[in-house]
Amino acid sequence: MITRCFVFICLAGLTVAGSNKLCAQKIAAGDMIDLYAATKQLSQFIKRFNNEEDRQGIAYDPTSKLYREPEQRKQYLKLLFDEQSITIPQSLRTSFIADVTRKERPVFLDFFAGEWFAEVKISVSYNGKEEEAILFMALEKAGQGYKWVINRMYFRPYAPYIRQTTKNPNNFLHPQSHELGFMNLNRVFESPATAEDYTSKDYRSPDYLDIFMYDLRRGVIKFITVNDTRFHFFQIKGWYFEVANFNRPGLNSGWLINNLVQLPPEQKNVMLSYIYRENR
Amino acid sequence: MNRLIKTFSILTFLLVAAFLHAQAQSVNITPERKRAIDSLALEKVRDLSKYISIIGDKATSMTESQRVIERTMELFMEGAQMGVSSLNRKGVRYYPVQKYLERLRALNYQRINIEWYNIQYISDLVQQPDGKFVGVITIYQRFEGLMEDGMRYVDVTKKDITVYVERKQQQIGGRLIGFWDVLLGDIKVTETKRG
Repeated sequence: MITRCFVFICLAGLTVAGSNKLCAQKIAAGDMIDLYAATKQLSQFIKRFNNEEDRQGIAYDPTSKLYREPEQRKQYLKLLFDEQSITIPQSLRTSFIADVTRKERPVFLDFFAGEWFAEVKISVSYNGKEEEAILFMALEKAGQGYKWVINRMYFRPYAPYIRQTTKNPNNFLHPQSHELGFMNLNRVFESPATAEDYTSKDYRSPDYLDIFMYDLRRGVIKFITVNDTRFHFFQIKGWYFEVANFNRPGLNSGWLINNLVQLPPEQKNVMLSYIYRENR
Repeated sequence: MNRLIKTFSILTFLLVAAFLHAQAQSVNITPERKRAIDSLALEKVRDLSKYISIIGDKATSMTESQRVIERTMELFMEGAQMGVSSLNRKGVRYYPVQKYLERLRALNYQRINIEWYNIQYISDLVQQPDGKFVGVITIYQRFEGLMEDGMRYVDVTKKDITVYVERKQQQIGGRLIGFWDVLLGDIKVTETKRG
């Protein structure tokens, strides 16, 4: 409640202080307060997380004493959680904020440091039927700068055909098969689910992205639209959190943390498997 | 002799490294320069806001709005598009910028009032593989349309506008003058409120 009052007073002050008279009387003060409070871009989420900008969204000079100042940062961090999320207990938030703002070694988010990626849900037409595909996008260094690339994906229609198991060593073509003109190949293709047992040890099963690209080239997949974007952060040692966009009125909107998990490093792969929809 | 060649090679290497370093540094954007580029980009965004209001205004003549659409297009990179998402529909609808502006002009309202909130958020500029810098400016627009029968449609949209910034040079009076060129790119339009 104190935090809400703090935000309201700060933002109301800003609204009154607005110097540019672009907005006319029809624009309600409440709207302005909501829009100031909204975390409008992921860049702003990172800057608020680190306390690298003032309440009007103007970046602090890194030499300023306000830059990354811990007390203000704690206030910002409290505002970066989805208040409607029931999956994040207050105690967990408190210990997360205490951990990232600890005096001796505070932790900050870094856009370029990796260990975070985007999950983008898109609609595609697959064999004439609308389906959802999930793309996992990563920021990659290239040329003189950076670009977002499709790192991997999940596509439900492929799930039954994606092999998750290891090869069965009892399935092989014996070393004299050549003398029979490989007539025993019929056993390989009898059961499509185990055909890969007969491939070279260097063979890598195609993943979702391989097949998706192949189908795209064959013309059986057509892009329709983008439906949702969220971000997964593993940058803070010992923690995982998800950031999603909440398009709603009020002071708690825009890019907010809607999932927070205390994650020992050895469990990171389990979380990644879950996000990538492996074994689901 | 060998020693001389070795010294020469090291010197050459150092010179090349220093040159490459200088080249890399030359495109660095200092906080002061960033502020100057931001105001240049904001100026373009303000022009865009102004043009959108003129195009949407029912009092603007067809000839005038056509001229303003042409001026608006000069603000954009070629091929820029608008992606529109609404509160009651999933997904993004894509329109080339010109088509979007023409649709705005053709809206079937008797009176249209477009206002812009005094809020903008400017991201950092990040360099892309071809060396250009890219950022996003977020602004908010309130649209009010009045139908002939008195029915009123109001919405508030968030506009995330891509801004491309490129270092260019121009020869003026025999001298090469460097300048920062700013062009607008794709715009994501998100409906945030309907009333």
